[in-house]
Amino acid sequence: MNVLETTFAGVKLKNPVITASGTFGFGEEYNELYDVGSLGAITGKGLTLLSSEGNDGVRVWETPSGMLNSVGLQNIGVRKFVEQSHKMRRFGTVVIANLGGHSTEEYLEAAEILNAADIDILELNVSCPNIKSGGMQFGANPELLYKLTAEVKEITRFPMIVKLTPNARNIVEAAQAAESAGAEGVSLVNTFLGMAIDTESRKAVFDNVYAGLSGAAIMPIALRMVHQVAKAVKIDVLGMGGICTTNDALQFIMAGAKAVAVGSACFANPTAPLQIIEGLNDYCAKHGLKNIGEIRGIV
Amino acid sequence: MEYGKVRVKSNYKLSDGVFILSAEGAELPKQAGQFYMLKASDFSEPFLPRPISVFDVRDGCVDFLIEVVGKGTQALMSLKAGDELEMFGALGNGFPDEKRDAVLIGGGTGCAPLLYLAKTLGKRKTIYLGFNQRDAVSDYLLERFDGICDKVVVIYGGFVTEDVIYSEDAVYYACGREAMMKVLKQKADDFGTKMYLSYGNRMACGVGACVCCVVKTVDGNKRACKEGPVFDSRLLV
Repeated sequence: MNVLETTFAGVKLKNPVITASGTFGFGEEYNELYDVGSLGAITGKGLTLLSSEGNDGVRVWETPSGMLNSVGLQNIGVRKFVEQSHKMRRFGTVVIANLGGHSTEEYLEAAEILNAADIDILELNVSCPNIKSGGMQFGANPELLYKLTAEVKEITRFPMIVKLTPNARNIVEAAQAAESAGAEGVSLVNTFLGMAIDTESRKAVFDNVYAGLSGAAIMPIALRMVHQVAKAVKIDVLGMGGICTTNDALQFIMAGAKAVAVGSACFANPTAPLQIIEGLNDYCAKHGLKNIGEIRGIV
Repeated sequence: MEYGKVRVKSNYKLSDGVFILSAEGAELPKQAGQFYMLKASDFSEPFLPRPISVFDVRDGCVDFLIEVVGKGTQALMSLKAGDELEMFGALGNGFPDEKRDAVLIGGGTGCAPLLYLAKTLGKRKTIYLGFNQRDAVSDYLLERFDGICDKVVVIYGGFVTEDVIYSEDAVYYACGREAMMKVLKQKADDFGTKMYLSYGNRMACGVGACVCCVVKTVDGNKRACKEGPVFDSRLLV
């Protein structure tokens, strides 16, 4: 077994480094810079039943050691994605599709359509803070989350993970709800709800007022949440939230993550996921690990 | 496109807030109007790189004319010759060369991408430059454009868009602040003028992955970093 080989949600990954949804398009753009097939898996941009133009106004804002975004799930819609999912397959790595929605009906119809796509894992997005209805509301309430997860699980033919919001009252309860409803894994965290004000215009920077905070700034909080969740559930945990370096990724794995996702760090350094894979290999060699799994959850 | 650390060849201050950063060892642009994501160092402050369009290409170096607007550009201004610079590019689609007489319109330091454009365009070129006032920056830019363009018109204060002669016989290229671009788009529609506008929207990834920099067009949102930053004015809404 390769030192970085990992099984996540029942799917074999060549390494545990994945790209986070919404930060990597559908892989095409970064594939012009390097072979994205060398990543453990790639997660596509968040999809919804119907295509969407996303939010108006400013969409990105620099913050201390991070950024706020308010893209609002601009996407091509699940039908168009199904037509082109074979393009992601061509990269030669595991493909994860991320599905968001505004209502239960919408999630279910979209999950049904997505069954025709050539993907490996479905990530149920119940944590987008940038859409006006649905999204994060499902993730913030364990009862709603349980019901939605169970219903989508009935329909989808793919292993399913649930992407959790750190804005839930209790993220551990949310993870447990996803586990009880039959999800193969959970991914956490999505962005933290934040805000910025333009002091010259004396107005909120974003049309939606609030936006999602990501980047290095959120890493210690995301790490704590991953640690808490990993201790409380038996299903696989995909850790994410401000991971920029190999050391960050190692901390998430030691906190209990089976795989890690790199998001905003790709903006700061587009080769960040590659550097982390290389760094994890070096760490295993230096510490005589036969597989990266040996250090999982040791803290 | 390439990503990596390159060397700062020189960093020349034109004024307190405007400078020309010259980078050596990077992939050269294929077209005027392309841009690079620039950052003083990878995960430290600021977190995101800044999209900066090519001002000039000289002796294998790429020059950027930059005005300080926040901490990203401030960090770039503090770089010294020999320092490392994170550089990702060349990115985006630049100005198409239509092999026709060209009219260039630049608002303040927004004229940056027009210099390399003027150098690479083959035909007769007129440039209109609008500045708030005459200063060291405007004098420098005027001198640079003077040697390359057939005619240079400069306006201090006021609106450069009002002095431009719009015609169907030439192709127009422009870059400047949002308000200027809005007026130009309207002028192009009114006079039936072929016009290309370059947009310096806020960006995160620079390659089309994050869709943070979209511009509204008749075909829906388009990414300034991928389909742009240069757009045919007729496609804009």
